[in-house]
Amino acid sequence: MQELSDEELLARYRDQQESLAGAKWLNQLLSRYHARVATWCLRFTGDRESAGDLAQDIFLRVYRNLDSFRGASKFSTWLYTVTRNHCINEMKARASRGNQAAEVLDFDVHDQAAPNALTTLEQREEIEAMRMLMQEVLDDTEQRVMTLHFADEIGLEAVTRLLNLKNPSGARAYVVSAKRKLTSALQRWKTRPGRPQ
Amino acid sequence: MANIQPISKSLGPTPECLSLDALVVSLEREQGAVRQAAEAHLVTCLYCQTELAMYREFQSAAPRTEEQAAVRQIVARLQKNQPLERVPWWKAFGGVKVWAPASLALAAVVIILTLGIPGQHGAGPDVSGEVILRSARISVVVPPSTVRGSPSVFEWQPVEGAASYQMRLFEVDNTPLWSAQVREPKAELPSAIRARLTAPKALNWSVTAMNAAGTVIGESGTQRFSITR
Repeated sequence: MQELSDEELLARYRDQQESLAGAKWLNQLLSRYHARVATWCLRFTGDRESAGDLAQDIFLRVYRNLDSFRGASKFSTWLYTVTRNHCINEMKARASRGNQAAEVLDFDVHDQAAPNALTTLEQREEIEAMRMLMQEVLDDTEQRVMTLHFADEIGLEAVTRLLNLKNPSGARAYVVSAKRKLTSALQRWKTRPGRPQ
Repeated sequence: MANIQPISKSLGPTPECLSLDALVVSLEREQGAVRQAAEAHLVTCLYCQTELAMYREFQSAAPRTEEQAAVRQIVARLQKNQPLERVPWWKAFGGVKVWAPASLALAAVVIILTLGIPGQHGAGPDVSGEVILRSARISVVVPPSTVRGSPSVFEWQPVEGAASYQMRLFEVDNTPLWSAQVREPKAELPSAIRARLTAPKALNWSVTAMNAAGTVIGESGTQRFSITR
């Protein structure tokens, strides 16, 4: 027999949600994602107990907010978004409560002599240049590490686990390497011919 | 001193970035110009590349060898505590279809016993002049779908006959963050809430209009916006 899609299971649950049969369809749907969500939570937290708590919260949240899923996207994308946001928010909350040190690695590729002297236009130009340089000089892993750590504010240990980095210092080494490459590339960009000094 | 602001801005989402849902739909379900635009954006955007890579990793993720024991235990715990609320005992006997006729008959008996036989106490209430209100769609003004920094004000088009508006702000998974009841078609976000909304972040919001009797006469539906640096 052909396996029902996520969307078909959800439709059956919605048709029969007043009965036991409805529960069966929903449990079947959510069970498909138990291992994936558990794995994701484990990579975020690094320990089984808090990953279990996090995963439990996520499925409760999914269940309570099922009505808001209208089917414009795939169920799996929606579930992933809920999982990702909850993991990131929970890790930030834990860090702010002081249960876990939030490490943000120092990253300054600017001229120390005049760090605040850039005009808005220059700052915008520099941000664009930085985007371009990151594409040009960083390898795929460095790009991922930098984005997860600096844009999504995910801690370095969690980034190390998420990306399955096996080197001794994990994501930290990639940030250091990216910083070296970007500092050098930015200096070249600043002194390139035709750019006003 | 650490200066990570420019690097975070360079790595964060741009105004051109789609939400992950929209990006996946554009790449997997759309054809032609929509798909090409999404692909072209993806080539130049590290943020979207990373978001998509992480989503695909989640989709295909099998526990690694060192994770397997822990994941097995977490899954066992999840299966034991399925989030579905306990189904009431009467639904266990075949659901509503079986019991619906019986419960309808019982309800009819209760109504007749409570009100007496129709006609005995004169005419029923006159509903001929009752106005049935159908709620209008509220058009939102600000914030737009993408804003730089946390927005300070939410504004929408006024609804005729509205005495008050209920505005709600919530996370994309519908966790409530803040709500306000206002008379004007706008609501100012308190600075304490604004401070919590750090970019990059997507949020949902909605507004409901009510007349003086408290009846809902207009709804915006869920609106989404993204905060960028």
